[in-house]
Amino acid sequence: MTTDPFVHLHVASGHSMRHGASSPSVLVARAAELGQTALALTDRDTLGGAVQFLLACREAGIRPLLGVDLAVMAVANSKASTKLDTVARRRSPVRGGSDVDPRHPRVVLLARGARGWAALCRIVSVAHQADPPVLTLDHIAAVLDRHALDGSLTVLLGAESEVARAIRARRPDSAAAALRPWCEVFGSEVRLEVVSHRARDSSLTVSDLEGAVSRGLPLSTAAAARVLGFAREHQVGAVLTNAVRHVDPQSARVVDLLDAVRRLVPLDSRHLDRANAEGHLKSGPAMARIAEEVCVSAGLNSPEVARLLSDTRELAQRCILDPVTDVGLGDLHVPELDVLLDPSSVQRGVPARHSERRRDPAHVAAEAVRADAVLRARCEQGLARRGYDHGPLRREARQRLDDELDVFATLGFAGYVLTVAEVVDLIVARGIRVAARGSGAGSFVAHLLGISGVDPLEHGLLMERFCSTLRRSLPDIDIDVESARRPEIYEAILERFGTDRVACVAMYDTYRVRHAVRDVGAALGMPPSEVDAFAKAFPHVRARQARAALADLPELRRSGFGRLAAQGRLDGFLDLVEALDGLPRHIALHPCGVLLSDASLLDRTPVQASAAGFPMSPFDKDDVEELGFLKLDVLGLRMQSAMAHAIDEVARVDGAAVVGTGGATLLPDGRIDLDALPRDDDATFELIRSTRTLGCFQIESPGQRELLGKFAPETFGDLIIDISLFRPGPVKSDMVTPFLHARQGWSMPTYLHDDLKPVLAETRGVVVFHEQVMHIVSITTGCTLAEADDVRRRMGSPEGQSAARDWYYPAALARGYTLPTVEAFWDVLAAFASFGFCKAHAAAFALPTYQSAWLKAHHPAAFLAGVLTHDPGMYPKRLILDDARHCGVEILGLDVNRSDAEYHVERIGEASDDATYGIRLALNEVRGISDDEVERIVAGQPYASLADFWHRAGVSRPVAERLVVIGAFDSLHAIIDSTGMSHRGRVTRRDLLLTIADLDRWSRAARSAGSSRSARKGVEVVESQLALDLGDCPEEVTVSGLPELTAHERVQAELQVLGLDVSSHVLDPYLPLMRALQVARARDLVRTRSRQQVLVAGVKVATQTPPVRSGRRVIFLTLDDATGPVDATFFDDAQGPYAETVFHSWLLIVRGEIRRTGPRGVSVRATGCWELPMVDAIWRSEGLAEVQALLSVRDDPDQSAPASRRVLVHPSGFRQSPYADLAPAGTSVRSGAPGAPPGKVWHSSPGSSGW
Amino acid sequence: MSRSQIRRGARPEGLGTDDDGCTVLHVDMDAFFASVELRHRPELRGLPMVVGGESGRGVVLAATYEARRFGIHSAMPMSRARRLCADLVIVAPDHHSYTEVSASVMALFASITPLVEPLSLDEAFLDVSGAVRRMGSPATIGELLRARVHDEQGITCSVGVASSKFVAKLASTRAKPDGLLVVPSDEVIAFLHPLPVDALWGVGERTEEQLHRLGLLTVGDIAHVPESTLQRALGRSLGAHLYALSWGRDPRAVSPHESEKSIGNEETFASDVDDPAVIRRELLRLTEQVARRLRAAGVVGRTVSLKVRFADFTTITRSRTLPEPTDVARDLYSTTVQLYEALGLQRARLRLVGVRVEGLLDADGAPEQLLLDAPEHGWRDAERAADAATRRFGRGAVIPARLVTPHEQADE
Repeated sequence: MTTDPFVHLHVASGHSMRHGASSPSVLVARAAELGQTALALTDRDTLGGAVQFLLACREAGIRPLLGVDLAVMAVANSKASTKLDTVARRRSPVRGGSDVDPRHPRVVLLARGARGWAALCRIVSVAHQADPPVLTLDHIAAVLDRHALDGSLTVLLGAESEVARAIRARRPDSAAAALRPWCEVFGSEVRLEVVSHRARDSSLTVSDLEGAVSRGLPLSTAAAARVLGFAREHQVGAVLTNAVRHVDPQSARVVDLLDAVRRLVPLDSRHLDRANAEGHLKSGPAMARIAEEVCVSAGLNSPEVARLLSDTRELAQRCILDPVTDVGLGDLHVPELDVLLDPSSVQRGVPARHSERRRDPAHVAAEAVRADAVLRARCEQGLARRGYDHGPLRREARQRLDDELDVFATLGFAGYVLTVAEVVDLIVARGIRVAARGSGAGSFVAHLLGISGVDPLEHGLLMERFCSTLRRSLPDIDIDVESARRPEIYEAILERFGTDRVACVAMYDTYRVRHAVRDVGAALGMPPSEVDAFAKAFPHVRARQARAALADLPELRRSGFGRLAAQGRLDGFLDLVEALDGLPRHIALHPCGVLLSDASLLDRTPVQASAAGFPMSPFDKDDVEELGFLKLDVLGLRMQSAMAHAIDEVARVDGAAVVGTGGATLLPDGRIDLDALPRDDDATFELIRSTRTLGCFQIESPGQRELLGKFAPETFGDLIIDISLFRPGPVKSDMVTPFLHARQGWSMPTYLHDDLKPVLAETRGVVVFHEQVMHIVSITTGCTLAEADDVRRRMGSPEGQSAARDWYYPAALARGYTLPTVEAFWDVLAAFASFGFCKAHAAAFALPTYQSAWLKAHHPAAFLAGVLTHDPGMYPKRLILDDARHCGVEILGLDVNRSDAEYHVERIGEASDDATYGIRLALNEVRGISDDEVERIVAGQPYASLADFWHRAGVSRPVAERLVVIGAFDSLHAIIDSTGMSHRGRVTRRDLLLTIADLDRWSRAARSAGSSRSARKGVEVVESQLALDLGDCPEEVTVSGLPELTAHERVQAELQVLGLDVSSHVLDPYLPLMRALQVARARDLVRTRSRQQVLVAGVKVATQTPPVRSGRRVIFLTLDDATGPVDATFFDDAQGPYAETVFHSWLLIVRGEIRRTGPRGVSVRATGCWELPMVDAIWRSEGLAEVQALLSVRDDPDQSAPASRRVLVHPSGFRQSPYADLAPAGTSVRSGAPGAPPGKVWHSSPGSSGW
Repeated sequence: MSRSQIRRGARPEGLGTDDDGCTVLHVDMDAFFASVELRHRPELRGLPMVVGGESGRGVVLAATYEARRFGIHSAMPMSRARRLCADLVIVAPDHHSYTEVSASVMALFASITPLVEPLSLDEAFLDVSGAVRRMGSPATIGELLRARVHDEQGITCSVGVASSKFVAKLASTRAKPDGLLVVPSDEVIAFLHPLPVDALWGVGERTEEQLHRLGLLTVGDIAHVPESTLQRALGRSLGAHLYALSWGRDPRAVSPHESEKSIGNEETFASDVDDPAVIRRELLRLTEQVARRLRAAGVVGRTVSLKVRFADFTTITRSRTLPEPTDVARDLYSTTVQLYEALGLQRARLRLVGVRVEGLLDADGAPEQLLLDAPEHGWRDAERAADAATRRFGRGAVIPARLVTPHEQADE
């Protein structure tokens, strides 16, 4: 194909949120297809697509240009600008719905060279200080001046610029006035864009004229001709662009939808920006035709056509960027050594200018040598601190340290490691719990610097798995911190390194089906309630799978939406939904990524404020790595917060009395030092072996508990193995059974070859860890561990595997192994290379696992209070409460005088030696209570009466009523546990409700009588004439004779207000029905025969749709029936009529057949499922026979089921349903939907946590 | 329990038939619009059918009992109804024939007793105490009415017979469809007390929730709580009101001569509208209609109110009182537009707009301030002339120019 000299200078991609319809890579691919050699990306208000664009260009051999399309305040002092102001000052609407698009004029800034890119970054950062981002020309000039970046940008005044709008509105005078200031700032680097979308040139009316000045008219050839004429007349350069928003004419409808979605208005011609489908990435010849048409229309001759095209080409040539030297792709930047060594140098300020010195190779090399020396010195201190400067391991430790330091020195990573260590120190200094995770735990240096708590020497963890000279990319060190204190850590890092060096990483939400349905529904004017129902009916699939999901999933296929779709009545709707697939729709703070750099950060990325106010780069986690920023993942781990809460509680309640129990020592602040615990505590391992590990990190899922029971871990090493075994790979490839057999001594371990025995002994001959794979490769071929890791990595893909095989056979044979032995080795390697698990990662995980189990073994009340407060695990809180009771911990109801914001431990009983503990429910659990209300309630404790509480706590009436119905005032008003009988003369919760009504009425009257809220107590008010009319404030609670809440009503109230059943089990009211139907209970299921038909019932605890080998979607449902968990499985044939009930209801009765899965394992293969309350109602009104008839219905096979099932095939050959691993349909959080439980009572997840 | 469940409930057993003193009848047409449509579409009988805008986003105006089985009820968005029942038959409304049938039915009522209080097109209270001697017992009259409505109009209705309005209305609901229920005077309490609290007139969702929280689930529960307790919980007047109702006390009489206190028209858009030009045009059309109705009734009004319903069904009204009463569309329009603009709406989507004039006075007796610079033949005269033209040439003979354009353009 011949090359096409035309270059599109004005192109918006999907990163122009709700504006551009095509992704950067699609645009680049199209340009390459057209034979174009260069392309610009000029997104609106953002540079977020730049890295993806550069990478796509590199791939396609296209030369990149970068720019930004920015909103600017009108500069001309014309009628137009005053008009704009009046529009902006319009009164706010009576009810929501302010206009969201002010339609400011826009210009495009194109970068030239590295300074141009820096200027773009700086200017975009400044623009984002306003929301929505908008600048004035003065701002731009000031930024260029301050950073000495003038002359690095070209400005394109395009169709939406003030100049072009004025020209289109036939106001050349205003146009000239609007042009002048730009020329003053940019001199000869101003270009007018000639844009024609060949729209009809409608004749102007006066109102059009006014509108045109503020928003423009369709882009006609005649108007473009006037722009060109104007440019010639004023001797300003002109270039031809097409203001591209979509890649091809077909995608133009998406642009319309985006206009409507961006403006939050219905799809209507008044709100659309485009006139036709001409705004796509046209070919050069097509653009040349436009140039001709425009020139003809402007009365200019053909040399003028050539001039317009060559001017365009000439500008493009000058603005082509080099991704490496100009944008800095692949450069590593870490904070300057001086900054690391001396915090005060941040304040002194390293010049932020584009420093030439920083780029000087000699300087860089000298700095690297210094950093290596500093790192070595720090590690030497670590050796002494960790006790490696003496003893038997002294020599080994020294050798390992030298090796690792060599690797870091070769790679130039010393600064990186030092920076991570500095951040960890910052966190530790604040008393925040921190732990390293991932392969970084394999580095001895990381251990010596205090980054990782696990000793790699002790556990045989390999540096090579983490980092080697064969891999040049930055290794990942992720750290886990207390989730609740993550913002505090961000603040600390920002303060330590300065805003010039730190930014957070962004994360893009792209359109998935639910959001797409919502936005399309709103644009098409569907009723809001319908849009909501439609969106919620979908699982979280991609938008482009909407049709497939409607046809594939039985519950959707049978729904009204599925039937309408099958009739083709939703076609238009679904076309639009699918067109939105994958477009970015929202930018947010990445949950953990922090960028650290030297002072040139703001020259290399723009920043904008995140919702929480942190500076945020618009690049996502992959982009920032390409850009060479040091990205540190600071993951908030709820378990760390839960454990911190636990040790706080232990210190508060028991103080120093706990020293010694389980080997505990105290931190200087008086809390237990969890990181210093001995890792061989008997009580802890006893708890783990008992499988009562609810709430413990990583080992609480039903599957894990089953494994723990069989495995019976005894050491920390066992825990590492246990965590590694419980993963999809090992479970799928059945590594677990041979290991367990060898472990129990039922079979002899087999090692393939004696050479492998030292490596495989710890796991009884079964390959579990990546580290073992590396050792096997190294031992059998004689290569280094670094090379072995390289081999292991390559084996992840089918092509890599065959290449590795070609290398492995000769290498192993050369070491003298026989061909059958080599074949046996290879089979093991091939099977386990991708399924194994990084031991360093498992070891890092095992630490919090052990710590949480230790806490549960020794301080169950404090631990579970932490778990309840920070909710780290997979189980609903109501199950944790049950578990607490099993652990002998009492659950204490909410009490306005005793409860705190969070769950607290209370000591019950006086004598300290036989004290038992209770957990007091937290005020934060009350539905609808605000943080302020909680704070006021706690501050005002104790209260003397309900009236006292009403006056001083200042909570809203609904919250006060909720507190009453769950018994928060019971102890205050001596309300005893009730059997539902009314006790003559005794106050009931309902009397308290009446009192609240009285108090509320009185308060309102008092307020309207002009009294202040503080004067509500009535004492002062009595003096005033007005208040006397109000009567006395009701202080006493009078007995009205209303009945007390029954036990059932109490539980209902608890569920509604707290989402927890505290006073009795939520299933209790249904026990009579369950007895009548002979429903099997969990504790009795073990004794049932296989294939026996049963009914089971309970509260939904979890639904999972994990990937399974067959590639079908299987729904696993776990119920709690007060005697234990019941697991039920719904296969394809049972999903049609029942999936919706499983997903959308929570008290369920399930019919099925018993399947034995092991000596103690039982599950129910479900054949039906109904809502328990509905069945109960039928039983009460129509009798047992009717219920039995309902529950024995057999369903017809689903006729509408598609003949073939779609299956995803993983490179490893594993097949899975496209709907596995997705958050299922339905609502899971607090919602007012009828039939839905009031709180988050169950858990629904793609797989178990940690998979 | 919700209202719809009461309707579905079986007829109470063991209620006597003694209709002595039960002179209040509540007559309610069954699925009125739908039934009228079925008269000339017999092929649709037995099918799930609703009347309403077909556009996919109108609302259900009436649903046959077959459609109600799918959970469809009136006022539900049409798209939801279609989702609940894929085979739903949707019939566009024909308001003209409903008005006609309604007028005939009301005329039939009037032939029986002058004490007819229409509540809407399809229901009315009748006080038949004066007709008992002439026509037989109230239950007999009720059955007669049902037979005649069926014979003359081809639709069915249900009748509740009781000694008070609110019990009669409950009874007709219980009798539906196509039934009659007498609640004898001495069995009112027995009839009422098992009912859920939301059966009581004046108990909405919020009040229902409050009563439930106090453990009061049935009307009987309310009756057996001290009145003062109810007043503490619900406020003085509502507490007293519900207490009285729970003992069957409803002093309201059937009052046929409810003089019109206001005149208003409203329009639900075919699809939600955010275009100010469209909304203004609609307001102009509505004010023209209202003014014409004012002049036809010979009244003038001082207070103009604007009603706006948003896409999510929340509704607001705004009103303004004029210095002097008027029946001139131009005055009404300018006031209405001011009210509309004061809302400052920018991109809110409207489902409905309505215009109403309140504080009506006889046009002849209304004070009229003379203005020095008033044109001799003002807008009032112009509009009266238009009224005359309309009478002569039919509706639409003379309309504001702005109301012409869109249709003309649409026809192109």
